[in-house]
Amino acid sequence: MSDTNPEVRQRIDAHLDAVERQLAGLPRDQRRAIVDDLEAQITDMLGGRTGMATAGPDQVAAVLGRLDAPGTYGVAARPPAAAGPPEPLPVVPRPLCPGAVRGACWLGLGALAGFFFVLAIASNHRLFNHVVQGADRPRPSPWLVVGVPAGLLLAAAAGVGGGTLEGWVALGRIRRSTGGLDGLPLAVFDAVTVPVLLAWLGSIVLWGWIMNDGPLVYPRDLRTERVAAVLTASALTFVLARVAVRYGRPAPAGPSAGVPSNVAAV
Amino acid sequence: MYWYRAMRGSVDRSWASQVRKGLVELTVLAALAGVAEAYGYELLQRLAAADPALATGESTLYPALARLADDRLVAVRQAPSPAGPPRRYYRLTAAGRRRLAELSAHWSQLARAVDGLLAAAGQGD
Repeated sequence: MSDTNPEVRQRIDAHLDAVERQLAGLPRDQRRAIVDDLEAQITDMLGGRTGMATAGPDQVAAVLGRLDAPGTYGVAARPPAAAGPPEPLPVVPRPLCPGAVRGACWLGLGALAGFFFVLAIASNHRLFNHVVQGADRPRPSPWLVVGVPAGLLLAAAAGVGGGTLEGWVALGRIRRSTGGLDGLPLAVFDAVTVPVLLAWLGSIVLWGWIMNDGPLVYPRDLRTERVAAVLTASALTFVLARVAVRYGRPAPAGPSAGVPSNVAAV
Repeated sequence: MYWYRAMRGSVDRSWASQVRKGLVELTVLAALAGVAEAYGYELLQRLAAADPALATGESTLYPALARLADDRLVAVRQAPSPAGPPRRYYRLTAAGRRRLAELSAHWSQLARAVDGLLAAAGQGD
């Protein structure tokens, strides 16, 4: 099964781990037997080894959705026999959602490009001053003055935008993994970056307009304007983060979640 | 009215579910009695195909199979599968056949008794 898509394998393993955790009261060999039977069933439902190799995340999600939810296995775990306490389960760390990590990398690259963009602008400014002041320096080429900052700005926008998109995709995957994937805070951070930047920019522009040109025209008070903009932007940031957390939070596994479509619930 | 019907439907499903769970040992042993051996998913499909009323979920069937194996009522043979991971094939043991006979007799007696009660109440077939 080495040729299976890693994400597919990860989802199946997450489901099997969740089931095994529910069977904590059973002896180890019984737990293994149940999980082995379930793994063989999932492979059959995906069309065997060949189907596993070609299956995408959506197909796996559909198959896992037709299975009984891991929570329904809890009732199967009968109390341990008088022989002794149940064996402790090995702690299986949940894998970090790869999309969330990719999103953070995109954002990092975007921030780096943004930093160099600012440096390029400042450097242009100094060059320009030298030329105007008649310093003995050659006039910089237009490519250097316009091309480099424009390229850096484009890279910054692509990095930040790509990171945000990756964040939303990662949130969806974390939700659908029903607890199998970790990295919700990182995915939320990725997903809200552009909306938060827009919220802050919008708040500053809005309060500038309200205090100067809009209905609340009175002698300009820069401090009030800034405080109002920061408060508005902070409130919007809080709301955006909440929306993202709700979107990405894995749905609780209910007993009706995984009843096979062709099999009556038992 | 809608809520009443929804609640009642839920109660009916829950009752049927409990009855099926109580009968899972009998139905699994009976399903295995008709074949030389079968693996888990095959049994799941066999039960669903026999009658929709016998259909059961894997969260009920696989733990039941593990318990039956633990009680030595079924024997397990693990064999490699061309389709994927090794499959566990279940086969009824002599003890399993005896247990099936006991449960079968008990079920017949219980079914007759309930049928009699329902007939007396005018609810039978």
